[in-house]
Amino acid sequence: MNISWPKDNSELIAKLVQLAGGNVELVNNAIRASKVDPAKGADLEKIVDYIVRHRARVRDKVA
Amino acid sequence: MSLAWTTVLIVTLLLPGLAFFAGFWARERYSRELVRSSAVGEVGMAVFVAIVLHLSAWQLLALVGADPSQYFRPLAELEAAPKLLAEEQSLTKLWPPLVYTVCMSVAGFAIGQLVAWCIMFGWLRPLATHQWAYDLLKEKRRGVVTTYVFTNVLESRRAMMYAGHLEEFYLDANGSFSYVVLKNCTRYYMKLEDDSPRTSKRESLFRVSNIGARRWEHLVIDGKYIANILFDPLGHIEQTDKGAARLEAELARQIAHLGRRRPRRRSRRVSRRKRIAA
Repeated sequence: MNISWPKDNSELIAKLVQLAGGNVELVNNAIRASKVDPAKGADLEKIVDYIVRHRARVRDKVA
Repeated sequence: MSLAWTTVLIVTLLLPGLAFFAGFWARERYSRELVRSSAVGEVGMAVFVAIVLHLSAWQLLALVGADPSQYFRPLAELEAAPKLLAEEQSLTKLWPPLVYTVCMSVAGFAIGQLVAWCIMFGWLRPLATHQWAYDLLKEKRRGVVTTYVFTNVLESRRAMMYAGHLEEFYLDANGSFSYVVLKNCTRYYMKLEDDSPRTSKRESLFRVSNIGARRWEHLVIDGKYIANILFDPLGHIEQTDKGAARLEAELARQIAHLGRRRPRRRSRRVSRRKRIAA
């Protein structure tokens, strides 16, 4: 039995939002898209990749 | 035994029970006012838990061949000793009960946390009154929970709504929200004019700075303004060393990129001003 309190990842989310230039929806979409296996979580590296790839597109659309 | 010593002894013996409840409530999501509202009941429970802890400890000490009374006998001897002698021996006599009390209080706190963990996430779960709150807490800690708050603030058939990442929440006695704290918030309206209500375009609640989101931004929504809340857990994030390194590298690159862009903007402004002046 693993007795440990769940860790808080607020700081990680804040960094992802910072990377997405404040675009919270982009972060949410990145987490959804990076979750391939429902049993496992979303891979952080894939999330970062997704944000970096789509950040430019969003910026271009806004411009 | 004098009244002062009796009081000291009672408080000392009660400390493990109080420490148990300090540990038990440390991770709870009920407002502190609720805990304090039944102070008599809390003291009663603390007395009960303290008795159980002391009896268990004394039983354990007796099993390993130690004499449990050795920790408290010096207190009685100190009381009976002449004043001058008692002052001289106070440190040596007080040391054993002090060690015992500290050890028992630490054990009480740890046991309180263990019981709380078992109720929130373990096999004592059926004892929890509002089990969904612990599911939410677990999801929130593991990953991200997107939260949509439908407020009861209505204006021209429009209801104010907020969306964001769940940061914190507290419940009152009925299990309704005392308050909710969101991060990375957007604000929008639910238009109630048509048969199917529609939402308006979302607007960021906080101004996005040049380097992205702020580390500190909390929107506290009081429970009395909350009509409904929808929680959408996005799942947990697998944090790998490779992923963390990639994130840090990208953030550093982003900051460096923004740092390079800034002077160019200034120079344009300066040149524009110069042109206007000319």
